[in-house]
Amino acid sequence: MRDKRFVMDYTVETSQLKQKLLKTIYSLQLKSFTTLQSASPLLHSQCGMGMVSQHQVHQLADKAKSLCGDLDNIKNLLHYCQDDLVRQIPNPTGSCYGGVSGIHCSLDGSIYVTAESAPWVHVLSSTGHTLQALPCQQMGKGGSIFLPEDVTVTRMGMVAVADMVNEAIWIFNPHARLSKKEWIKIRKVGSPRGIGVDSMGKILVADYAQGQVHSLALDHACRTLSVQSVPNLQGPRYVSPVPRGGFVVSEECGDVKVFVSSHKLPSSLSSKYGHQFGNPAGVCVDRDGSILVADEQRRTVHLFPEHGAPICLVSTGLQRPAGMACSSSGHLFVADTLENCVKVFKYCVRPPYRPTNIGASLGIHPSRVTAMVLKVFFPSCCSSAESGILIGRWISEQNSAVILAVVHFPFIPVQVKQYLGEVQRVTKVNVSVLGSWSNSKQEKEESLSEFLEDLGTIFCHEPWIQISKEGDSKFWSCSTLQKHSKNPQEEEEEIILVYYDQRKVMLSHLHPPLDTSGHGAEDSSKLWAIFDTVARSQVLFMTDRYDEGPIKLTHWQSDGVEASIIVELLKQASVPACMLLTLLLSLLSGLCTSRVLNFWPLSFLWSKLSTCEQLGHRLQHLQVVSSNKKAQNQSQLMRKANIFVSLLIDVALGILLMSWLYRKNRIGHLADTLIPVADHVAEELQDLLQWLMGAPAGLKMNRALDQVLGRFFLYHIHLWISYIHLLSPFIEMILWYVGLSACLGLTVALCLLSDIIALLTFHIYCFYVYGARLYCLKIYGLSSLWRLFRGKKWNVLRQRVDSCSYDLDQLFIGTLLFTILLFLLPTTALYYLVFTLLRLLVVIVQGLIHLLVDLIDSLPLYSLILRLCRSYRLAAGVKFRVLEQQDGKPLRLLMQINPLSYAGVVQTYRLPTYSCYPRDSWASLCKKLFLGELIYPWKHKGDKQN
Amino acid sequence: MAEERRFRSACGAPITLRRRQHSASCRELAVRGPRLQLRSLSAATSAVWLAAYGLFALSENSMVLSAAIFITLIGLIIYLHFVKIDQESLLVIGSLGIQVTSSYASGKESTIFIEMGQVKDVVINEAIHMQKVIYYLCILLQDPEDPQGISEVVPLFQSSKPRLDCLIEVYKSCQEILEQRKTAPQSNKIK
Repeated sequence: MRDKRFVMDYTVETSQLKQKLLKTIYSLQLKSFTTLQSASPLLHSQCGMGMVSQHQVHQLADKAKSLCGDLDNIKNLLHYCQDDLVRQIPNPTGSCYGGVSGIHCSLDGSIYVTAESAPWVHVLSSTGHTLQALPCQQMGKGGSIFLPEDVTVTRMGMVAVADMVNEAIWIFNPHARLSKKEWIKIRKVGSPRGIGVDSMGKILVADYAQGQVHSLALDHACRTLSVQSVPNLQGPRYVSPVPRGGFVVSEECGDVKVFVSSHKLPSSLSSKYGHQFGNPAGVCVDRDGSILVADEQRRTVHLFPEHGAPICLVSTGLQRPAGMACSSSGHLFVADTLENCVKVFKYCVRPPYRPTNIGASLGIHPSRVTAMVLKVFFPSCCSSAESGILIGRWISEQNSAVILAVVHFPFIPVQVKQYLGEVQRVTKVNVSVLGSWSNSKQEKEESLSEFLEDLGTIFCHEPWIQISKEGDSKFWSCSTLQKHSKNPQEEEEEIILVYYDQRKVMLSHLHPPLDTSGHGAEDSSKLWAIFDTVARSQVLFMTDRYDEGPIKLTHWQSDGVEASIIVELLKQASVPACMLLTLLLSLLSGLCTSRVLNFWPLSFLWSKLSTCEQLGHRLQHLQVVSSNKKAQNQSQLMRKANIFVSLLIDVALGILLMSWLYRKNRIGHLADTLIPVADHVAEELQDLLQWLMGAPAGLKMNRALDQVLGRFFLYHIHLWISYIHLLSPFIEMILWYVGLSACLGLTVALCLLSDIIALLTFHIYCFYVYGARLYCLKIYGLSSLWRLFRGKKWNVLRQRVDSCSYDLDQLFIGTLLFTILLFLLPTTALYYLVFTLLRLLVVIVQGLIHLLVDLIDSLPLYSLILRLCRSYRLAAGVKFRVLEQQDGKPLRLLMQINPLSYAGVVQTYRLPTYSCYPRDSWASLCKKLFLGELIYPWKHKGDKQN
Repeated sequence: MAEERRFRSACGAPITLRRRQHSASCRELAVRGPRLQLRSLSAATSAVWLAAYGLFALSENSMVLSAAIFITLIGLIIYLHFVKIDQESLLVIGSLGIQVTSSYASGKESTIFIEMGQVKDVVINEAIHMQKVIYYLCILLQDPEDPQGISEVVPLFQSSKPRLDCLIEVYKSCQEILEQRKTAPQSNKIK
């Protein structure tokens, strides 16, 4: 039979017919295309309908409807084939029992068969070999046998059978351990006939006597959770689930009824298609949603497609068809009771392209749970958009689709393609049409969904994603269409819908920032690719809302540029201002680096004054801000902004300080109090020295040395006081001019303060140096004499301690000196201790001031403000929230931006500072203090080299 | 599809493990620790106030009392907001990644999301904590340079410290989903 058709295909007549059909379809397509192209813009611009009358529109709609029906019929007739018997599988139980009755085809292609009055369920391969035989016998002492009527396989891979004799449903887990392999009776049902598993995993049982269909929800331990019943059926026999929810049930000598998922609205096939059934028996629904019905009386099998007229698939060769099943590969299995065999028919010319429904994919075996999960990133602002097509980027390596916008109807496909090409050129993002979006306010419109499916052929994309929202339902249905599926068994896909806030994702920056040049950036982070896609397609979102282009899009709408005239003016003004500033700065820095200011004593002085350091630092900052080079990446931009804000805040604080200082003659007061304070400090020091020269804290000092040291220091203080008094008439003026420097910034003023403190406590520094030097000398002397004592000496050349033989004289002198030094040590040590403590006090005050300066210098204020007010701008990553969900609908996630923590912000964007102090560790500081080495308040040249 | 089971933490406090299956490849596991006990709260408060009264009796300065009130209030806020973790949850999404959330008693949530590409494995480890050996679950992160190496270990359920029986439960659930991920690249190669 197949050969005959094969030959027929090559006759002249057939080829002419083929050409004619193709030509007709092409011309239809072309005509509708050109009409749409001219009509769409006209309908947009005109307010009325032109010369088109109401009658004409209705007529056209009717004609189009009938034409669509004809096209559907032709498509179906081309698609399906009749009476194509592939093989016959004999009854595996043999002829001693009754004929085969129940049949089920699982998703992996194996067939489950039961026969009348035979206590077995056989598992066959698709070619008819017996894989497994499950005896229907209860384990244990009773061991009673039961007779399965019909069989099905649950979501969990368990075999469920309907037992009419015992009036029960039995379930068997073939994956369980051997000891647990037994049939479990889950429920008593009046007289179960047909059995099936629907898309939500519930078991459907047709109750013949009571005329009901029960749907049982089971938990993991096979306990019944809930029972739902559909009453008022006339002898229901076979039941089959519909992939998109709901089921089909056949009534004895009656009709076939279709129930949608709500289990409420039955529609009968005979009235919908105008078909008369004899005695409908087995029913099944294939993955396209077409319903197949076997007729026991007329010995035929009919297919009822979703669109188009019913088709007779098997007209001859059946004796008494009972149960029926169809596989995803386009095969039909009919159990023939009279002939006692299973007949396999091929009914699809080619396996159809399959809309993968989530309901179907959830109903598969756990062992076959597919790993390929399709992720759809959907902008939440588009959720209320009108129907249209989805455009976005397909990231194939992650199997995810980032949807950027929705294009509304009506549109002209060519223009959409042009537009996308333009967008691609500008943004360098591979934007394409990914699928269709239907948002029907009321009931699902059949014609629209059909049309959306057909759009997939105009815009080629693999896979074609279809998202539809019905009414105000939160749960959308989502499916994919694979046109060229190579492996039909493996194509189950789970879909995850991820909602994202387009604006936030566009504006945010992932941290840590990746360098875009590195090729590793692409594969290192999947999220990065998504963020990058949305950010780069900014151009798409910046179109004006009122711009009447050829294409209408829905996406996040920027508020436009109207409100930012001031910003524009500022931008215009900033360019010459920056240029002027750059010029001035270059002059200034040229002056600073000129040789006049850099000869020895001056350069030394500059390097020791923290004010100069701070001024230089700020000069660099100003140069960075005013440079007219565009910031290359985000981190540079942030750095610029941070510097700018830091400068602004600094200057603002400085001016605040200045306004406080110069009001009410505060400078004069300050100067008036400064001299007495300095006097007071000097007096206190004098008292301290007097105290040290006596017997401080009851310590007995070397009186002579004590007096000498005390007088020496007292003289110094006397010098200092006279110096201060000499200076006192000018101090107010000096302070007045120094106070002006606060307009350069608070940090400069603080640095000046630190310098002034250093100058005013110069005597303390001097004392410290004298004390330390003296102490140091003594420590060194003592240590070398200690070595002499032990008959050793320090070998300078070898840098080690060698043994050495000394003369008696040398030893005598050494011992004498050692004793003297040792007894004089407490006196010097005391002086050293007191002055070091004083010195440390000053250093701590200066250190605190410098800490404050560093804080103002390095704090990334702009980033912190951004984090506070627009926390999504600085993203550390994302977080997902699982939204409420429904069985059979895709998993819905909400992607939110996880903002960077404040510590993270400071760490990432901290501005580098110059540090004035050598960063000594505490241990080395203590060692230095003990040995009497000098602690410098400023950067020590020697430390740098080390 | 949520189920709850009761376990004990390493120090014996009762904890509940809540498992929610959102879809075939998305699962949420939440460990809820013991709630804040009124007894311990009142004990801490009264201890602070008694100490404050003692000081007040000695110094006769009413500042001590107001300081005590402030200390208890601020201490309570800090404890609820930064210390006391009410629930730690693990959201495993097959193809996206693993999300670790800890919610504090005040409602603050801190979240880390680890992409599936970075996750090398989820394992149970043992560690010496104080004077005993405890088990903990951790996520091993892949080193981007070295495919065999581990760059970081992220410990899970750090505050509730469930015992091994609870950890095994969580481990199995995680592995079921991670298994799917491993089969995915292979099936791609066959294609």
